[in-house]
Amino acid sequence: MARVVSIHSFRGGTGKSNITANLAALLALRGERVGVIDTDIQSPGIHILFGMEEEHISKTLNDYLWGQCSIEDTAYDVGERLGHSALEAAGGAIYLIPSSLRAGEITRILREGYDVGTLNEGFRDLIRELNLDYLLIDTHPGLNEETLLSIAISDCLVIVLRPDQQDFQGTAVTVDVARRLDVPQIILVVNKALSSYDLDALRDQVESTYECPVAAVLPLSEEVAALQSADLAVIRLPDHSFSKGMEAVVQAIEAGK
Amino acid sequence: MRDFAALICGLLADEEALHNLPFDRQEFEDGETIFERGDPGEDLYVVESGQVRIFTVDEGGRELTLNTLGPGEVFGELALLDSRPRSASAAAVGPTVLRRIDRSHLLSLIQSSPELAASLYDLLAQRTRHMTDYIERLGHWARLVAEGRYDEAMRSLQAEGQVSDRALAAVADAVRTMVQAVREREERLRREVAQLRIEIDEVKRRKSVAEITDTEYFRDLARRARELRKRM
Repeated sequence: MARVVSIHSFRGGTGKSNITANLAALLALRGERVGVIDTDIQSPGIHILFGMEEEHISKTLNDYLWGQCSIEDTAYDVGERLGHSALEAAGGAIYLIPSSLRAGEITRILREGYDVGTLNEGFRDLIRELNLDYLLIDTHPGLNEETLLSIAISDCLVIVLRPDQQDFQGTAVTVDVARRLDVPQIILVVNKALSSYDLDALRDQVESTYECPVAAVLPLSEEVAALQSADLAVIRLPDHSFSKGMEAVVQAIEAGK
Repeated sequence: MRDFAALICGLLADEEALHNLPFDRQEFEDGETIFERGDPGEDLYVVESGQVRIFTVDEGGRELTLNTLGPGEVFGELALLDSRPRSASAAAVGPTVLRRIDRSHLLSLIQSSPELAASLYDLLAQRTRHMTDYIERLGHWARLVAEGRYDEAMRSLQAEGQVSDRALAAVADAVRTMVQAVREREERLRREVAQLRIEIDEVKRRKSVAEITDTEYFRDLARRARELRKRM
C-alpha cells in the first residue's frame, strides 16, 4: 500500500520544497516509485529543483482540478535529474505533478477556488495509475482547507520549521491540528539552523516542546544555497551535512511504515 | 659579582680581547629576522645598539612576544649549553647592531675565566626564575578566564603592563587581546542562545487551533480522516 507523506510548514521560506524534492530523490534511489505533487498553487516552485523548464510543462494540476484532463496527464517523469541508470539499477521512479506557473491561471484558481474532493480523488488516482509506493505532497504554507485535506489523508506529516519564534508558534498550531486529525506519524525537521547553535541542544528543546521526534536539524548552508533551489543537494553534495540529514529523515519516514 | 652581559660587554670594550676573539659585528634593518625558532643554535648575541624582539609563532601564524632586549643585553645563551635548535625567534626592532660569538670560542673563554662561568650560571638561574614567574602569571590569568572573571583578568593584565618587566608586559598585552576575543565570542553566543529560547503563547495557540477546528469543514474532515487514509 502506498504511503502518503505531506511536507508542510506554517510559514513560507522554510525550505519545504527543497526538502520535499530531496526526500523524493532519496526514496526513488532506494527503489521506491515516488510521486511528488505541488499543491502550493499560489507560489509553485518545486519543478525547478527537478530541472523542468517552464515551456516543457503543458498540463498541470490546475487543468486537472478544472476537469480538463486526468491526473496522470499532469505527471512528468523527472528521473533524468537523478541519473536514469542509477534509478533503473535501484528500480525506482520519480514523477512530478506541477501546478501552473501562468499568472492568469494562478489568479483564476485563487479567485474561483476548486473542489477539495476532486483533489482527494486526484491523489488516489495518481497512486493507482502510477503504481506509487510514496506520494509526497508539497503543501501550501498555512492551514487552508486543501492543506488540511492533505494533512488528513497523510500517513506521515513532515513539519519543516526554522529556529525562530514565529515558526515555533506556528508549528505548535500545526502539531495540535494534525493530532486532532489522528495523523499516524508526525516528524519535525528543523532547517536553516546557524552553525554557531548547539544543534543537539536545539533538537532536545524542540522535541520536548512538541513531544514529537525531530528527524534532523539541518544547518544553514552556503553550499546548499549556492544550488539556488535549481538542483538536488542529495545528488550534487551527497556528503554534505544537509544530505546526511535528509537520509535521517528518510529513515524516520520508513521507520513509521 | 658582575653579571654575564656586563662581563661580555667588558670583553667587547677590551681591544686586546676583541683582537683575540672572533666577535662578528652584524647589522639588521627594522623587522629583519635574526634567527627563527628551530634554526640551529650556535651563537650568542650581544645587543650593541637598537632593540631585539624575542617571540614565538603559533600554528595560526600569530606571534607572541616573549621579551624585548636593548643595548648591553645578551640573548641566545641557551644554545651555548646544549647546542640544540633555537627555542624562539628573534627579530630587530629598528636599525640594530649585534655582536656575535660562536659556541666553541665562548666555551673556551668561559673555561679560562671562573668569573665568566659563575656569571653565566647566575644568568641561567635568573632566566629560570623568570620563566617560573611567567608560567605562574599565565596560569593565574588562564584561571580567571576559565572562571569567566574577565574584569579581574583585565585589571591584572593592565597592572602587568605597567611594571618594568618587558617580557611580562608583552605577554600581558597578548593575553589581553585573547581575553577580549573570548569575551566577545561568549557574549555573541549568549545572545544567540537567548534568541533560541522556545516560547509559545498558549492562549494564542489555543485560539489559532480553535479557529481551524471549530468549523464544519474540519469536523467533517476529522470524522472521515481515518476512512480517507484507508482508501488512499
